[in-house]
Amino acid sequence: MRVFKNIHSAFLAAFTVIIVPVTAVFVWISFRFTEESILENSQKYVSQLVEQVNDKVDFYLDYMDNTSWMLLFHSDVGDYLSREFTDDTQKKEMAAGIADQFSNILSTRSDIYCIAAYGQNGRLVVNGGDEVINRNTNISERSWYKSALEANGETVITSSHVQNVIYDRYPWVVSVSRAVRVPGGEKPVGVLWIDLNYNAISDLCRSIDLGSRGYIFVLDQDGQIVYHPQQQLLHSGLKDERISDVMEMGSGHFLTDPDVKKAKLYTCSRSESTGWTVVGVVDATELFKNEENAKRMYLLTAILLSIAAVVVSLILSGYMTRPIRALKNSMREVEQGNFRVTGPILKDDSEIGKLGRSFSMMVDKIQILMEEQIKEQKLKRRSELKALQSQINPHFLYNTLDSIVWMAESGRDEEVVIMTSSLARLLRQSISNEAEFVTVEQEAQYVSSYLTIQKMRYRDQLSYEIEVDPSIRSKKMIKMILQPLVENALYHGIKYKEEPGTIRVRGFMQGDRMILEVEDDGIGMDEEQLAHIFDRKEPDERSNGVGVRNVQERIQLYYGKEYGLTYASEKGRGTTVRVNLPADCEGAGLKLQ
Amino acid sequence: MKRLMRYRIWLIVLLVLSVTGAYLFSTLQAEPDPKMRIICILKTTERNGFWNSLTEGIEAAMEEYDADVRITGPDEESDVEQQNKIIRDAVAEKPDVIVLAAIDSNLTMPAALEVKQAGIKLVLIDSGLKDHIEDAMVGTDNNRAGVRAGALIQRLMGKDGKLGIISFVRNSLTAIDREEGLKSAVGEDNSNVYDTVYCDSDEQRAFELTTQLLNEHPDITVLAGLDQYSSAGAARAVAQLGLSGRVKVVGFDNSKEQIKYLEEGIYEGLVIQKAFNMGYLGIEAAVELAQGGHVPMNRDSGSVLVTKDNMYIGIYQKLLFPFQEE
Repeated sequence: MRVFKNIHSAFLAAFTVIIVPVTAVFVWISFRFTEESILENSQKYVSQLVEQVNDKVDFYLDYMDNTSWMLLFHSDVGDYLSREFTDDTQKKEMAAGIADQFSNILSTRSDIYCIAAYGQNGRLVVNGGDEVINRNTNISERSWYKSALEANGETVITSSHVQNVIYDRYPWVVSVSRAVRVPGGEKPVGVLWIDLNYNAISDLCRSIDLGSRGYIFVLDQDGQIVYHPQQQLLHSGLKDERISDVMEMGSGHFLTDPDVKKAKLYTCSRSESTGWTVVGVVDATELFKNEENAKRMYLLTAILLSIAAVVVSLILSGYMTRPIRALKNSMREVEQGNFRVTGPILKDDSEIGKLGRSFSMMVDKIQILMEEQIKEQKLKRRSELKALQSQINPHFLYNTLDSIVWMAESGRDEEVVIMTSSLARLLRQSISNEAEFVTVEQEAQYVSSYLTIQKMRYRDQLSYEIEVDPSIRSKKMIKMILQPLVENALYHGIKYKEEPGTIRVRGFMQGDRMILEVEDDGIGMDEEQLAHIFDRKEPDERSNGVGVRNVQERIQLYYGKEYGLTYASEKGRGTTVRVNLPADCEGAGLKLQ
Repeated sequence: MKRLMRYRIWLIVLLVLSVTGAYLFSTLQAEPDPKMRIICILKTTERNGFWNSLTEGIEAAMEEYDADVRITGPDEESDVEQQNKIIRDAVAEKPDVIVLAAIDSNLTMPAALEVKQAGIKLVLIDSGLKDHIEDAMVGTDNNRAGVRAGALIQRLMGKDGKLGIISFVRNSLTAIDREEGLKSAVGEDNSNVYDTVYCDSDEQRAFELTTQLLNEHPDITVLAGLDQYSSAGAARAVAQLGLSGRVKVVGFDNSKEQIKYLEEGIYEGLVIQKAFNMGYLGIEAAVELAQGGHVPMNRDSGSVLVTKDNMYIGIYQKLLFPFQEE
């Protein structure tokens, strides 16, 4: 799949593909976490508060229960409610005594509205005895009274109701009542009760802050509302409360809606001693009010992070791929044959850095190898040529020896001597001298020996002149330059001529160059021949294999391209070959080192 | 330029992200909607039983709907002039809705009209106006409340009983409705009903009128008071004249004094209004109007008949003795 045009884009895409989902997951988790932790925290918080309220209510009611128990056993309530009095003052005294005890307790507790005892016989003691009794009330008809009688000595806690026992007062109270029994009596003789100000309970619940839409309410054991901040709304049927849910739950918490954000959180705590349930209600919309902002903050952060990530990716991927691109460019250079590039120089130790360095090293090595190859080739060629230059054409040798034999037979001793000595000199020069370089003098002598022999063979057909400027005689040059040229001039120029021919060899300085010239007046060459003078030729039996091409090649191998042979020729008029050599011939040879 | 083109997809990605970010940021500090402003003008600022419950209902709704409600009214329930002045002051404040308990169905009309002319929504509670200019009305269905009382009265009167009615304000629609309802329940021909007397919402006047009525017509067996003051005055007269048991009284409302008479047995029954509901529903209607919602023209906040036998039982106890904030 070729989606990306280059590594840079691929990196960028990879970064983005990784970073964006990671950010998204992060945001999602944050969302979830916030939601859960908000809910969990508020559950904990609310249940703590609710339990606290429950404990306080328990404590209250427990206290009342204890008080009523104490009053029952440490006062004459039972006695007073059951006894037949003959003496009215005694009855009054007893009532006053009980009322005293009641008022003792009342004076320490402002949350108690009234402490009272009512007998089946209609006797009533209320508080300190100085309250005006509501004559129109019928206590024995009230439900709380009846249930206390039925409970047979057990404490009965009655949820909020209106207490009308005192004239002109109709407060809402919570009653803790207990049937009064006398020893031996089968039925209770009356009821002792303590009315707790309803406000004591409602203040307790109201003091708890559960947010502006949160509240606490209290249910009694039958699911009747003891306290609810909106009880009027409930009574009027304008609102519903989830009483049955709460009664089912007992202690614990539940949400009114599966969607947490629309739900209300109900936290219930049921008291074991009273059976009352304190319920804390928290509106989730309020809990999550700040969550929306928090979520937006998360999202914003995530987006900023993503932007930063993309920007950083742009920079980073550019940075990371820069060496690769540089490497690619230098590879292209190498592809085009430029081994001079060294490749990107990378200081870092990354794979790409190493790759770059390896590439550089490789290119360097290739270059070295190539240079060595060239050098080797040159050396090889040189030794080949060296081998060639030391050879004397065997045909030439036979012919010369034939000539000597022939001359010896015809008794031309003097000529034999000259020819033999010339041949000997020629051979010595070619065999003994291992050096590549000879003096111009020596080269000239060699040519001279050669020409001497040839002149004797060709008799009158050949004449020659050698003129070498004395100033260059001692200068050095590579050997076997002149002889092949002379041989060429003889075999290709003079030999085919009817009349006798002349070969002139000259040597002189021209500027900083040393010029050697071989001039013949032979048949000459046309332009066609001249153009192919340096072409490779199969060595034939008459040539010593050291052709013009080889001479040229050798000179240029030793001294460079700017030196070598130049031919000038005219058909029928002869040929002149000019050897250009550096003045300091031997020194120039250093080039090969 | 070519370089730019190469990265254009990334530039687009960045742009999209930035725009989204900017949008989110702008929504971050959204201002909460301003609260709706409601001015509630009652017949009196006096916090007795009925008005107290009603005010509590208003306050409960205020909390429930998170509305800005200001409660005001004249010092005296009969002070039409002062209430009209308060209405005009309220109009000048340009609230979203004015909730009004009109003292007089006729005399309050001009001021109420100014409310409508100022483009302010008008919700009436408790008492209606002569012309139906209001956007919504929440109150006791007085005719029905009258019927409740009348049903009991009819039973108390039997075949030969005679009924005396003490009403409060002659032109009050409330009084008229209650009386009509009551009379319709008592019987088809009202030959056994004496002419209605008016105490002008004054308990002492009611007491005097009742005493006078009983003296003039000793054959009266049942008395009906049509509001708190007339009922209380009638009960006091019966108690003071020692006619308790012989003349039975049926009244309206639930002041503490009345509750005592109920316990005493002077009242056979009291029709109590759900004042809390009235206040609550009045504000509810006002809030819905302010939000541009549709509200039924008339809403009955309800009434209930409490007798001596059920006064300490369940819902009756709760309605008769509203939880007083102390």
